[in-house]
Amino acid sequence: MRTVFLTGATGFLGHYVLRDLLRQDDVRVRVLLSPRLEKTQARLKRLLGDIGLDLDAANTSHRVEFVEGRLPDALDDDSLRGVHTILHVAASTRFRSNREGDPARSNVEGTAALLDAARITGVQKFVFVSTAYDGGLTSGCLPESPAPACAPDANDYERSKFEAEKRVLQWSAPDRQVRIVRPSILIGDEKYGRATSFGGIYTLARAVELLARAADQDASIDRRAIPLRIVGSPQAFVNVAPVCWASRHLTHIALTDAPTGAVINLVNPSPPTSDDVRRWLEDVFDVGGGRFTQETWPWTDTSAWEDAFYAAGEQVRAYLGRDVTFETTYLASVGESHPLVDATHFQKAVRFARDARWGRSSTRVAGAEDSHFDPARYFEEFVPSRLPQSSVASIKSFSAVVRYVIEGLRNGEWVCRYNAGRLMETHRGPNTLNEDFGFRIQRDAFERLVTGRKSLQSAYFQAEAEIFGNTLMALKMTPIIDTFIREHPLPAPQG
Amino acid sequence: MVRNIGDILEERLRYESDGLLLEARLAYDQHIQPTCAALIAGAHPLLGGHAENNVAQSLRTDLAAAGVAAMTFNYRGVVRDDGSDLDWSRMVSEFWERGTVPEEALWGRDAQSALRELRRCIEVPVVLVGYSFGCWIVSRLVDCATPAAVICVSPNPNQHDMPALQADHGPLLVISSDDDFSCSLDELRCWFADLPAPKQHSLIPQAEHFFRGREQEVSAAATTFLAGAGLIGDQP
Repeated sequence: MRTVFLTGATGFLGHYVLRDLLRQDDVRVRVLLSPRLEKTQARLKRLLGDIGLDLDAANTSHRVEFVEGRLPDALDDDSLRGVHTILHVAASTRFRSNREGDPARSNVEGTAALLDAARITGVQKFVFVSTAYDGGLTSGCLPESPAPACAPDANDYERSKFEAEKRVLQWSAPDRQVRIVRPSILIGDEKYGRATSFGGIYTLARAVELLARAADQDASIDRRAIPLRIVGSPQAFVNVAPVCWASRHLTHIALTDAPTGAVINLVNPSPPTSDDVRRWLEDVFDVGGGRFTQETWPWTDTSAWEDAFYAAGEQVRAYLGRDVTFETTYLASVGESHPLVDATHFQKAVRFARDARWGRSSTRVAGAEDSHFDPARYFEEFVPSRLPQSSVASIKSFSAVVRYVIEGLRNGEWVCRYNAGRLMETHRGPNTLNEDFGFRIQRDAFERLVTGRKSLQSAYFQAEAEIFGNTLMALKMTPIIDTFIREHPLPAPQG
Repeated sequence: MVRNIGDILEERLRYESDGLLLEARLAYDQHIQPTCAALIAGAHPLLGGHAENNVAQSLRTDLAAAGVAAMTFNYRGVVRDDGSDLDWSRMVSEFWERGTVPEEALWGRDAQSALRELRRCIEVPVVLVGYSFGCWIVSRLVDCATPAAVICVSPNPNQHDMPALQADHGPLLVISSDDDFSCSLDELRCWFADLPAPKQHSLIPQAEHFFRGREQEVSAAATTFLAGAGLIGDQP
């Protein structure tokens, strides 16, 4: 049984990696946790519980053990004894250096310390998690090879990853294998949009929320036409990928000895463009008007709207102002070529972050069994997952664009496009697809509806629901909805 | 089972149709000898047509209060445990595609059976009342039922041919709104003009096809009409 030493297990990517490692039969994982061990372990247990792994059960089977320490200067000599592979996920993602010296201290010195310890104890494989934007590349194609130089305007984080990569490559030897994995910008999981840290691309989303809030305060502005210049090209790619996907590949890379190159770009092979991201974010926050510009930053004539937008942080420009593509030889070799993030997934992730108040409150993920009613999860998770199993899916003539307006809920509108009995897309917000017809229903009546305690037809005849648009189509849709709910009622709330 | 609503009794009945036991509700004033009975055929089962539909239920109780023995009934398949073997999923699919399903003929047979049950319960002249799709249903009963009067609420001649109403069928009342999505007022007036007398058209403005919250206006038009036809006594 191979022993893997994992760092960064309580991080956004790291706890998914630990789960995926423990799902393998022939792996024992030694986890480096920062002091105090008891407290950090309890946190890890909660994180893993949220994604369906019982840490106590894994503990019982002696598949996982914990060592207390902190890189770069508090790693016990025995920590790596018997370790075959190091999976170094821990990192500081600060863009600018702080007084403690991060990100360089964690990313460069921490990696160097771990490499030294690995050399002494005879570790055979070192997998280092870097970044797809290694070295601060702002345009062109990043090959799956060591970056020759760091861009002059790279931020401190990118510079630290570039330096760390160099040290990892120097550790390589005939009897020691190195893999440098460069994930792209990670967002929440595919199922719930769940994330545990909200930097990176989320900063951009937060900037749009700030813009929307500013519009809320200004009755004179048409919130759909806010004059906002966005740095960059609309056709440039924003390489976002789901955290679960990255974790699966990272685990695979760590546990297999497949003949890949030392550097692997773990990126979305078909990413959205900046303009896609703009539309998706405007949609979530019900604003509009952003236009891309190639004007060189910094600007001296920023408007109040632009001040509000760019005040969110440096990342706002970093994620839209680049035009980078990636060599994907590794992904091609494992047959990965499809887009990984669409509007539904991206917006789900953003809404999760917003509902989690960008990390200021704890948002736990509930499964479909959760009886707590959340219309967003109903439309965006429950229905998409259950509709294919419903007899409604066999209604091949069923194609329509339907808007659902849930009264008493902020931004409580969803537009669903059905084609040949399949749900093709779901958008939240009032400004997406033009509906054929729609239903307007009070939130409590809607809860009774989806839990099977009332039919849509009854709600309509009792004036608890309204129809707009094509009435005949809407009426013909009602037995379809009622059929779906009869087959897949949402569990009613307890008590 | 009997429900007492003031002076109105409501009996929950079972009627037999093609070997199935289907549900009906008969309402009447326990202190008044009914002078007529009304069979109320509800809307399309795929569009909320059942014995408790807002218009059907309101007509049942209000006509009963006016001295009519009024019966609503469920078509087969509406209550899923009634023993019928209708393929609901297929019907929903066909209805979405074509707006009609072959089972409509079976529901016509259910109406015939419900009429037999009503006549078994009470031997007075029968008034046929249809709402929406139910108008088409009662039009198919006219020939055999020889009704004392016919009331059609929100008929949709665009969707359903009702040739029997072109023949002599006794007094006819059509109740409609001027903003019915299924049939414009002009279309309805055109159709109504071709029907034989005696006939009346009662227009309830801005009530759409469904008369939500306006059900009592439908009932009032119906009772006034029946009183005018001499089928019920003075209004209480």
